[in-house]
Amino acid sequence: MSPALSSPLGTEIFLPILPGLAEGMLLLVIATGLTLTFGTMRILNFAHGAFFMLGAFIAYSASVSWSQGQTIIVPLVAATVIVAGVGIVAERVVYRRLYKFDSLRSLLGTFALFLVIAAIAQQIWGVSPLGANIPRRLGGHLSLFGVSILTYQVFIIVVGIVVVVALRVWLIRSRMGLEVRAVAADREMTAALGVRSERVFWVMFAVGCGLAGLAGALIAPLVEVSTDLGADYIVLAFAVVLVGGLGSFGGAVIASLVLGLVDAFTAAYVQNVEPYAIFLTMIVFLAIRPYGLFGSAAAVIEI
Amino acid sequence: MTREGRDLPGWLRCAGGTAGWLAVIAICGQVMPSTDLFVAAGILVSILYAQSVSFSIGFGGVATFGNQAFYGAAGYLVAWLSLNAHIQNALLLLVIGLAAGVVGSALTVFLVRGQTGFVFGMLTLAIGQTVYEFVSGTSYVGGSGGYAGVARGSLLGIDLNNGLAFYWFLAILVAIVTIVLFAVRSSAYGRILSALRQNVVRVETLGVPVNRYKGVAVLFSGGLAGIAGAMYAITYSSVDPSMFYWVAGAAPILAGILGGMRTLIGPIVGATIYGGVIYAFSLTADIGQLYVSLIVLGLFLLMPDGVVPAVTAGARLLLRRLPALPGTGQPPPSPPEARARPSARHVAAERKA
Repeated sequence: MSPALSSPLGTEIFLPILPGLAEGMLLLVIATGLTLTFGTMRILNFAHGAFFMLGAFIAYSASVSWSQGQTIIVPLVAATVIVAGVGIVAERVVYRRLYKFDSLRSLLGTFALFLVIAAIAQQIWGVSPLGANIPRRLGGHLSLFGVSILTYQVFIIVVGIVVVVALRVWLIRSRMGLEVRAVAADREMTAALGVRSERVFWVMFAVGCGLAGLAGALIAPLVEVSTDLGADYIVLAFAVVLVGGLGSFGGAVIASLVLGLVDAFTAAYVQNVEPYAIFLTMIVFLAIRPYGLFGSAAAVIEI
Repeated sequence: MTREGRDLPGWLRCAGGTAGWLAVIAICGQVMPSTDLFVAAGILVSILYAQSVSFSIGFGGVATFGNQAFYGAAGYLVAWLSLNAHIQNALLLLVIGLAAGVVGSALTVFLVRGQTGFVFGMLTLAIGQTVYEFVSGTSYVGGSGGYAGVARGSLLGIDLNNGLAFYWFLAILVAIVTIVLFAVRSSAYGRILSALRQNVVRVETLGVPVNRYKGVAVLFSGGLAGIAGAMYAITYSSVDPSMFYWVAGAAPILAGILGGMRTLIGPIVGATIYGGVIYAFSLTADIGQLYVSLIVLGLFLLMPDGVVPAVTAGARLLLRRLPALPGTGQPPPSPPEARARPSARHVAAERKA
C-alpha cells in the first residue's frame, strides 16, 4: 500500500485502473476470437474456452521446457500457432458438420468438443493446477503517475492493443479481410460471387483459435493453469460479446475494457462481490439495453 | 401430423409406456447387485434433471441454461431442512424441492424478462454462475464443502435407506413425471408451446401472449429441476457447490440431446446412456472422461436429433406402417436453411435457365 499512500492528490482511488485495463485486454483478446467465429460462421463457440485453456497449458509447457521461463516470446508464439493448428483440425473434423445445424445444436456440439479438449488436456497435463512464472524481465514493477503496477500488466495491455489494431487493419485493408466481411454480411451472396467461403471459414477459425491460444498464453503466468480455466473464462467472454452487442467489434472493445475495470474496482473496493461483479453488470446492462451496446434486433438468435 | 390419426389413443400409449418402464425397472432391480442399484438411483435422478431441461429447451424452445441454480438451491434447501429441521418425509422434501425450483425460476424470469433466444440463455447462465460463486465463496451455506449427512427417511412406512426401495421410489417418480409431461405436452398449453417453438410470429399473430407461455415453461422446467435437486440430496445424502457449476448443469442438456430432446422418452434414454457410459468407464477413472466425451461428441455428430428419433426413423423405414412412438408424432422441424429466402445461387441458376 505504501506507493499508493505516497501518491499525490488521492490518486490511489485510480489504483485499479491499469490492472482493470489489463484484465479487459485479456477479455478482449478472447472475445475478439469469439466474435470473429460467430460473425463469419454463426456458431456460438463454447469450445473457444477450451482453446483458451489449451493455450495456457501449452504456454506453461513451453515456458518450463524452454529457457526455464526466461522468455515470453516462445510461449506466446507456441501457444498461438499450436492452438490455431488444433483449431484448423477441429474445423475440418467437427465444425464443418455443425454448420447445417440450428443454433442450439451447434452450440451443444461445441460444448461436447469443449469436454473432449478438456479431457485431452487432463490426460496430458493432469488434474492438479500448474503455475507458470512471469519471465524475469517482465516480472518487476513500474511506477506510473506515482502508482506502482506490474510490468506484466503493461505488457498485456500493449500486446492487446497491437493484436486488436493489427486485426482491424487486416480486416479492413486486406483482400482476405474483405472476403471475411463479405461472408459475415451475406454468406450466400458472397458464395454466388465466387468467394470460396470454405477457405474463409478455416482461416477465420485459425485466427479465432490463435487469438484464444494467445490469450491463454498471456494469462498463464497470472493464474493457476487448470482445466477449469476455460469454463470460467468462456462465460466472461460471452458476457463481453453480449454487452458489446453480438457480432459488433467496437462493442466488444468497449465492453471488455469496461467489464475489466468493473472487475478490478470491485476487487479493490467492494468485499466479496468480485467473483460475480461482471455477471451482475451484464444482467443489469442487458435489462436496460437488451441488444447490448451496438447490437441490433437483427443479430438476435432464436433457439 | 398426418400420422397422428393412425396413432393409438393417448391413454393407451401412456399405459403401455408406463408398463414397459416398470417392467424394465423390475428386471434391472432383480438382476443388478445392490452396489449397482445405487448407480441406477443416480441415473434416475439425472433422468429427472434431463427431463427438466429437455422440456424447456427441446419442447418449449426456451434456452434455459441456468437450471443448475434451481437444482442446486433445491438440493441445498432440502439438505438444510433435513439436517436442521429433521424432516424425514421424502414426499415433503420433494414438494419443498419443487417449490424452491418454481420460486427460483420465477425470480429468474422476472430478472431477465423481455429477453429471448440465446441472450436469455446466457443471462440465465450468468445468474447460475452468480449463485455458484456466492455459494462456493461464502460460509453461510456450508462453504466449499456443502452439507453432508442428509437422511433419506421413509415414505408410507417404507424405509428408503433400503437400496431397492429407494430405487423403486425414484423409478415411480420418473414414471409419474413422464406421465405429467405427456399430459402437458398433449394439452392445449403444450400444443401452443410447441407451435411457439416452430413459429413465434405466426402464433403471436393469433393473439397468444408469447412471454407468458414461455415463462410458464421456464417455471415448469425449474420445478422439475428442483425435484431433481431434492432427489440428488437424498440420494447421495450430501450436497456441494459443484451442483451449481455451469459445466455440471450442461450435462443434462447433453444427455437430453443424446436421447432426443423433443421426444418424451429421449431424456430417459439419453441420461441412461450418458450415466451408463460414465459408469462403465469410471472403472478406469483416469482416461474415462476422455472416452465419455468422445462418445458423446461422436454420437452427437452421428445423430444430431438424438438416439430416439434416429431409432424411430430407422424402425419406420423397416416397418412402414409402424405407429408413431409416444411424443414423436410431430414431423422433425425443417432446418433453418430451408426456411430462409431462396438462395442466391438458386436465383442465379434460374436466371441462367
